[in-house]
Amino acid sequence: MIQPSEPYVQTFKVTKVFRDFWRREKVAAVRELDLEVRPNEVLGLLGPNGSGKSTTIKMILGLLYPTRGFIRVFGKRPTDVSIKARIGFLPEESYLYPFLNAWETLDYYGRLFKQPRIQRRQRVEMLLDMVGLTQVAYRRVGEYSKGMQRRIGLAQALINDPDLLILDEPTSGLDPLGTRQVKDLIQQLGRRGKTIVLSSHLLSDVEDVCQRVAILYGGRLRACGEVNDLLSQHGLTQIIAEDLSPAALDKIRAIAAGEGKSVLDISAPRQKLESLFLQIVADAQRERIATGGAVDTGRLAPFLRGEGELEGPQVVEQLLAATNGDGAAAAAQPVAPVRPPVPLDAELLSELTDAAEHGDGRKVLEDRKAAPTKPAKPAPAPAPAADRRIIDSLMKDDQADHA
Amino acid sequence: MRRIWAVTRQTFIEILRMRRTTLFIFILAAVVLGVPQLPRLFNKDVKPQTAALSAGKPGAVQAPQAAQRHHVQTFLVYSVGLAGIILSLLTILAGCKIICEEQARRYVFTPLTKPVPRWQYVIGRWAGLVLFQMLMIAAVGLAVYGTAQVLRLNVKDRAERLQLDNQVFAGRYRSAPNSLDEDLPKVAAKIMQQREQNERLKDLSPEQIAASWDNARLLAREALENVAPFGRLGWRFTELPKPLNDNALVEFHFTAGTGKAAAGTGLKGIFLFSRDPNSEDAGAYFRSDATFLTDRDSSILLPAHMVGSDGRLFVEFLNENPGDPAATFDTTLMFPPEELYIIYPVAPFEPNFLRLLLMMLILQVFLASTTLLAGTWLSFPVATLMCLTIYAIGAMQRFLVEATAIRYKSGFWVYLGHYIYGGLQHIMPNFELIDTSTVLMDSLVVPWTRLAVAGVAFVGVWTVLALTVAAFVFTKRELASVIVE
Ligand SMILES: Nc1ncnc2c1ncn2[C@@H]1O[C@H](COP(=O)(O)OP(=O)(O)O)[C@@H](O)[C@H]1O
Ligand SMILES: [Mg+2]
Repeated sequence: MIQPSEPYVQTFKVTKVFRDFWRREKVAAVRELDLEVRPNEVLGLLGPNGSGKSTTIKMILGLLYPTRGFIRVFGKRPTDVSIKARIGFLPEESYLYPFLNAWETLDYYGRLFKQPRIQRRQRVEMLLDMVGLTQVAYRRVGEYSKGMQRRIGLAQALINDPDLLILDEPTSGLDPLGTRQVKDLIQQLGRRGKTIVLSSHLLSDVEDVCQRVAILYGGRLRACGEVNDLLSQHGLTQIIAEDLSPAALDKIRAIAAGEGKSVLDISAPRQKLESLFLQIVADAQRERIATGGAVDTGRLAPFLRGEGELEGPQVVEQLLAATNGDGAAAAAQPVAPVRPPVPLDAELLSELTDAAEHGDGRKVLEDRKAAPTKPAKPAPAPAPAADRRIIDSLMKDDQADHA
Repeated sequence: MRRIWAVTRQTFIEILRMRRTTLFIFILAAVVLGVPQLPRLFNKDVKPQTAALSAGKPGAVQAPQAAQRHHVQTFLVYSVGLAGIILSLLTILAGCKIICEEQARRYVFTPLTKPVPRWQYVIGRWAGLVLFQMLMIAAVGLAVYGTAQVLRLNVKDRAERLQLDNQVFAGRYRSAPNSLDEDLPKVAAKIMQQREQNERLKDLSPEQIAASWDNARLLAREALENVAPFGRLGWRFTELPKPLNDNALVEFHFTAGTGKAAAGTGLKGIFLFSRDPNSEDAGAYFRSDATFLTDRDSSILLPAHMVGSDGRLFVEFLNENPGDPAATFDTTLMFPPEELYIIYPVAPFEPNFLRLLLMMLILQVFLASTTLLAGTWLSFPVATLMCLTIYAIGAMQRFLVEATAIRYKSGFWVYLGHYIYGGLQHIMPNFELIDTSTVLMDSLVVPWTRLAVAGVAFVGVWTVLALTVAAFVFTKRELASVIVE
């Protein structure tokens, strides 16, 4: 049996070399990778395109076999079927059968987990609701847009309420709203103690949700550690205040000069494009503007919240409700309940102004740093301006390579 | 088991939703419903009466003539045969598609990262394909049976209907006489005995003796196949099964030739049918004063009771053709043994038709496993080509045996073909076991034993083997490293 503290996934000096038809070596996609996924952590696999993230994931899932080295997943080989029951996987592209509709797709994968009918049905409905596709559940997946397919892909990865969730670029192809949702979802699942491996080439994805990141480049592990450690930049202070007069700014400069420091940059804070877009969509949803695409319900499927599934009389009730005219009923439902517009961190702002009045803005910011549960909010991030030197240099390398 | 079923179900839905399936179903419908119209289009002057003149009257010799019953038979042969070909093509195309395409397009990643063992996945795929073909065959069977019944009810003439029920809507048993096999060596031995008595063999070398034996066999064969004017010739049928019922008509078929007369010259003779005189139900005789044409298949109808309870029937022929006064041809008649047989119903039509459909299913089960075997490691076009080749070789087995036989003058290519095909033939099961057209052509009965043998060869051996290999390959296969085309 596997110890609770034992890593879920371990790779030992794993190398993967792709060969062509004549067995000539073509690409070394992964080289001597030593990686651990510990229980209850959200691990980000970061790296430019072609750095071996997907290859690593496929080896963990037994879809590829390592050329050298070996892998243990839940203490077993990746090809062992029994471990698959605890894994959820979202491939880099949503490889879904185009001839099935969303409902059938989820139902099929539920069947492969031997889920009983009632449970399957409940989960499918909850997941469809969660990814906002209830209204288009009976359209063929082949007709879906890429983002909608991505949502179904995510839903199928969650059908078994997995302990280990492996997401290969989960936000690729998603609109900012979907991206936000996926990040929220990952955070919520992470808080529930799920282990998540997330690959991405988007820094913001990883930065927002991962506790630990592993940075790959050219198939090698370049850096691995806590996000805060990798990103925090010591020695800078950011002040966000209501519009200040030039005189006030001069005073601040003077204060800074009094302490022997200089002010490096002064500018009007701008709303992030992401949060603006989120607001617009939220407004539209409040006005119940119909969409043929995906909608944000903002809800996590109850079984994923760890709440027990419906039982006995409840099930009957729900089934009765559902049989009140199947698809028609589903279509007639009002647009999913509206999620309040994402707050622009008013709380923080007022705190800040309060603090400014008391002349102690700095303390608030430090408090803020000390509470890492919040950095995911799409507010003008008070988090320290990131030191992305490692990452940026890697990205630049990559571009230079490809140029 | 539930996982296999999930894959089976999924496969079934997948095939059902393929566009090519719809196309094939349309073609199938056109074939089954269109074939019965063809005789009407191309052979307008057939009337039920043509055949009815002599039909159903025991003893009369029937000339081969186009009749309504032949149309029904043609319909059965063609619709079932064509449906078999169409379904086979569908199995191959759909089978290769479901297994190759999902690997090429990587759909397969998602199900295979679920807790379903890959061998179960392969079995599920195969079972889905088989399930689909089962339903298709059931549909084809119903459609063909229904259409055939409509055609049957359209035959209003009583005699023609009787013939139809006897010849087409029945499972018939066909038997050749066993005289030659048993008698030829005896007669040849007798000839050799005489030669020995004449002491002519003593001075001969072993080769010459062998040649003498060959010659004796030839003479014996002549003696057993030929009948001189006013001479007699007999045949023995043994181990005959009981006719279906008392109303069943037993057909005795023969073809007679003469040395010189043109085909179609009129002849006469007496056929005498009898049961084994030594058996307890001896004594029944049946005589037919026959007139018939040279080199044409002719038949005589006998009542069912002529097949004795001991399963024996004796036939004797008296050549009534005197030497031709004009001496234009020799009236010694020759009866080639391969064209001499009796045939009569021993089983009702419906269960026999059902067994015929099972024969079709056996082929589809075989093809489904073959496509999976090819599809697990080949790309779609290559796998399709390979399966089509195997199917074609199987379907043309008899033709290929002849075409690649090594003859007197053989070149390199003949040898090459012979050995390649010979090798394949040893690997592949015998397709003649499940050839529906030879069965339907004569409305032959399909015994369960034949089905069992076919089942063992096609399913028990080949399918199990193919699926095992396919499952093994698929399990070992590094799916994500497939670099397509
Ligand atoms: N099936 C394959 N055959 C050959 N080369 C491959 C295959 N899959 C990936 N590669 C190569 O391996 C390297 C890593 O790919 P991948 O792991 O997909 O990168 P990413 O980090 O973007 O997910 C790339 O150079 C890619 O070309
Ligand atoms: Mg990738």
